[in-house]
Amino acid sequence: MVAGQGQLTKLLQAWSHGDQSALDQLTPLIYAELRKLARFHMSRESAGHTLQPTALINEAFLKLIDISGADWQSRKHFYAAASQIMRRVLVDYARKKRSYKRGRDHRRVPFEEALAYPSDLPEATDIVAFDEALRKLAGIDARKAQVVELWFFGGMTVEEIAGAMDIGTSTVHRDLEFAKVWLARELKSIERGDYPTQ
Amino acid sequence: MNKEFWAKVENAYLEAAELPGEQRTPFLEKVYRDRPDVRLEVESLLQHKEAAEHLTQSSIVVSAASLFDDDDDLIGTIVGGKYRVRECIGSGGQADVYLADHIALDSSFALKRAAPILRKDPEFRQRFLEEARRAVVLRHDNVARVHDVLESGGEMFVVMEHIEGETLRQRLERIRRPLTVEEFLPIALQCAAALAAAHEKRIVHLDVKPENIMLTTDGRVKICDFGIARRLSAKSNSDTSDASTPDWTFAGTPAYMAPEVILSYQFDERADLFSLGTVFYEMLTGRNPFLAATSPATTARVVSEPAALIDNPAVNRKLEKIVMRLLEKDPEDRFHNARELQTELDSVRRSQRRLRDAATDIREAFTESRWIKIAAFTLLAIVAAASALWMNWYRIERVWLARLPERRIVVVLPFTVIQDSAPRSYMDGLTELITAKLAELSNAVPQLIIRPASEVRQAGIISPQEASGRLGANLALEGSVYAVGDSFQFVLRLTDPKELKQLRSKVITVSKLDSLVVENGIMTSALQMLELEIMPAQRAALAAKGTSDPQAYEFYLNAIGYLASRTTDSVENAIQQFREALILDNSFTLPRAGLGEAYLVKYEAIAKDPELITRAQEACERALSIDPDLQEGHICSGNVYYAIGEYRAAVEEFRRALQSKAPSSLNVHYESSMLSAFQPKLRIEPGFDAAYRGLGRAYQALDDLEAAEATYLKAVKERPDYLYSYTWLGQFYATARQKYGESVELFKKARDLSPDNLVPHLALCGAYILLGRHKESIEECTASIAISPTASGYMNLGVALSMTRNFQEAASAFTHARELNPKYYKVVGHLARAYYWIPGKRGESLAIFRNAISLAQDELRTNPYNWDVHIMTARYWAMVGDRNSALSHLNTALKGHPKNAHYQAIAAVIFNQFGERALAVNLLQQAVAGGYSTADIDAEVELDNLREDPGFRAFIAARATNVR
Repeated sequence: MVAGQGQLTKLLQAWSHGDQSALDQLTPLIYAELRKLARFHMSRESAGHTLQPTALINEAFLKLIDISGADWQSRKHFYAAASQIMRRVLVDYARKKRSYKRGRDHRRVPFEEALAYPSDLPEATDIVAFDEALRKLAGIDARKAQVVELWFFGGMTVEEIAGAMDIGTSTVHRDLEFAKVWLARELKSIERGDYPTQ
Repeated sequence: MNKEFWAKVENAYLEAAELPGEQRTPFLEKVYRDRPDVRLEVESLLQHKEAAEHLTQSSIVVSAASLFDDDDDLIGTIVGGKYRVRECIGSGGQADVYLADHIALDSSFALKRAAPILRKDPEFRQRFLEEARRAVVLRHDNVARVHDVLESGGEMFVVMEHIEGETLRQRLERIRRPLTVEEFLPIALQCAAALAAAHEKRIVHLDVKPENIMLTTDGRVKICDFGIARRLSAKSNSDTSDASTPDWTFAGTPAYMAPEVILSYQFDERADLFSLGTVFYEMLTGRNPFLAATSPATTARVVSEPAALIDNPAVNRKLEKIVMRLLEKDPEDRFHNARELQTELDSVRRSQRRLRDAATDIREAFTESRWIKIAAFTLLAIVAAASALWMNWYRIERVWLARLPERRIVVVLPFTVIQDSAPRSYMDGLTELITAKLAELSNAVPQLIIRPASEVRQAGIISPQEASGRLGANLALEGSVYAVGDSFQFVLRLTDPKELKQLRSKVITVSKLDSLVVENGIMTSALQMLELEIMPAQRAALAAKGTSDPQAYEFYLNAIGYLASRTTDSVENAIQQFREALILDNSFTLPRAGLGEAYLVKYEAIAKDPELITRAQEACERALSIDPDLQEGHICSGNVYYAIGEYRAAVEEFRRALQSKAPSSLNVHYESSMLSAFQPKLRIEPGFDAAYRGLGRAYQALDDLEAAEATYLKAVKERPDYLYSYTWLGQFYATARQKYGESVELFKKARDLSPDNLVPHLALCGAYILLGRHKESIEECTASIAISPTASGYMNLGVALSMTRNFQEAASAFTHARELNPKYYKVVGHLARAYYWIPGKRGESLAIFRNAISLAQDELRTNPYNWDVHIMTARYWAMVGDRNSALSHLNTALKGHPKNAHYQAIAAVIFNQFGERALAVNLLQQAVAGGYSTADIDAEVELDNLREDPGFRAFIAARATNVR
């Protein structure tokens, strides 16, 4: 893992400079980390524990990327690229999986039925729907959409977001509060309409 | 999105969200008094405040984890050194099943693997292994073979026989009806045989359900998934060893579980018999006897409620007794074992064969009377049912006279009452019901066409001659009732309306006006007179349903009769009678849904009081909470959601209505006239029509035009003889696609199907307006008013006259429309505009515009997402010169339908009103590119000032060389 860090960092940088092929090399590595993460969360050992609200970046991404590697112009740049790539990888994966399942018309018994789910776990969010709603928000208010992306996919704190975007923390708070409710409404209508998300 | 609006909404939201819940609305009303758009948006957002709190950083960790957790990493790999995994073919709570090819042999197998969550659980692994080993012992033609158990990559796999076919669940969902007894018996017999074989090896299945019963393409049955099967102690089944007492929780399916399994006391093979009984019940009725809205409720019913009797008349007593015996709560009361069940089923099969042979004999005797055959040997079932159930109630006299036409176009004339022997509304309701049931049946019988009751009513047809002349019928069904001493006689006549010759007649005598008996009697007689054989499943669907209280049913019937005409009194009466029905039988779901529809009718047609919507919603929800599959309930709910602008929720409801397994007996539905959603005509018609219409409208409101078009096309395909299928599609083409030519063709088709119906005339009037063919449009509107004066007829007439700049006459037409529907903002808005352009009347017009705006605001209170209301409100504000209000509504409307050409044209008018000519011209160009009728632009008096504008002229000139 450590041996690969330099290369991974380069890939992420290459991608953030517009090299699309870097993404193809990066994706399986991120998948592997996410799988590990999944195994940890779903294993019996962790089920009894309360999940710490650690964000994805910290869980999966920082292991891969050497942020102190100083090639980054700033933390800001790194976070922006990392949040974006995480969003992209997750959404692509969720979408692929969804279309695969639809194609076979297979039914999965809701997870809750199979196993008593510890009730203090946060609810899962439909990533594809969330992405769609976020894209819509970006069309109306690009700043709010970016705040949400950094916060949700990048796992940054309010202070980090404020620093990265050169805005005040109170603005970040306001943006988040308003964007969340707007997104929640959007998600609800997506969910209820079950209209195709492509 | 308007930046000012967005910023205002953000501020208002954040301020309001700080306040305690009950202070929010008063705060918004006070501070944003003159910004209803902001207020509505914030109120809508506040409803999602709680949901927003669930969007946390941890929620994405969980989402990502669950996304990657059940990853199909197996596909393409080789398992156990010999099976190449092709694809995942199923997933359940406990295991996934993959299709795999043996790399050496030319054969495929099913590989079963524990669900991800259980893979690493050593206890589960142990069980998985043990159970598979047990199942290997089991070899029977009707049990899916387990070939092997293997370990690969640290996981256990069970190698099973791969079966081509479908599960019983898939079959039931595909055919959307119960199985016939003929279809049922071979499946049931093979299931019994499979369980008998397993039980003889002391293996119980414990999860028998339709998902686990495979039907192969060649008609064999294979029971799968002895996944949680366990072997009983060989010693004795009264032994309380762990073999018969579950010592860990397994995920069976409560709706199919035996009570003793749920209660976790001792159980044996007979638990499987109970599960099989629930499966049999579902096969014969289309529904699980115990399934309730939630698992705990289902469990409670399994444990303590007896199953209702099977309501399928094709199922004879003997078969019903077998199923009911399987469903006994106490295992002692069930069959002793599966072999005994097998013997009983076999004897039913043998007697069924004898019946069929007899039926063939009867049919041969009737060969010259051209019966339409829907299914084999079912006439016998009907007659047998009739004699068993109803012989005590009435007697049937039949006289066969002449032959019926091959294609039967039937009008059911209003049943008549002789000497006040029965209430008028009762007979009206009965006429509606019988028509609706026959119409429903006609969906399945291409040779049968039933003219909808609404058409008959609208055209005011009461005689067979009229039925022939005006609705093109070749058969008329008439009915009358009179009292004879203590009993009632119904006389049914089937006549040839051209020759005025009586073809068939029947007399039904009943001892009292018990609606269930009357309706069943009339239906049976009508079907016999029409020489229709009918499948048992359809019969079951047509049988009156939902209550065992005849009086409650009668109230329901009366209410439906009242609801058919939409006057204030009749709607109140309908509400009253639905309530009476509910007082007598609180669990009777149809009047609940009916009540919901009645409140909605009252809201739409009489009083725009939001309280009515709330009540409608409650009534629909109650109906669905009792019967989650009730088609009427979903349609009712869909209509409510549509009325309040929750279009996605409406889509969901109508879809569920279309999926509901039991076709509904009838449905109440709104028909809107061309280009306006008001003055809907209430119609009673088969539920599927109402559901298609509702679904199409909701998709349209969501701007999902592809889905809307597909829905309407499907409706036309399903009901090619149904006039409204064409008007819906035509309306859609005109309003959403701007394909006015297509619309006109479709409306003409509808008009030809039913020349005396006013709807096609109204629709044509509207389409001609859009095509700029004002003369024809005035003709069609006038024709519609001649049939029946309606607000929409007058309104469209007024619009056509406005187009010809005849504002004086237009104002008079709008005044008529306003008298008929004073609360409709659009009528008032049009009237205001006509006054605006009549010389010397502009001053008067302003007050009328304000009235229109206030009526529109009333509508927006109920449905803030009605984009049409927003766009028209914007236009009215522009006419009175309030730029801010106009732009705010315009933005809202364009947010809803960004590409609607009609909206763009109105936006052009609005900007032009405020002197922004360049923008107006630009918008007009977009509108025309989007298909907006250029004739309309020519007619818009508001755009006259642009006609000298060079940009406008250039674009008009370009268009002239490029006419469609």
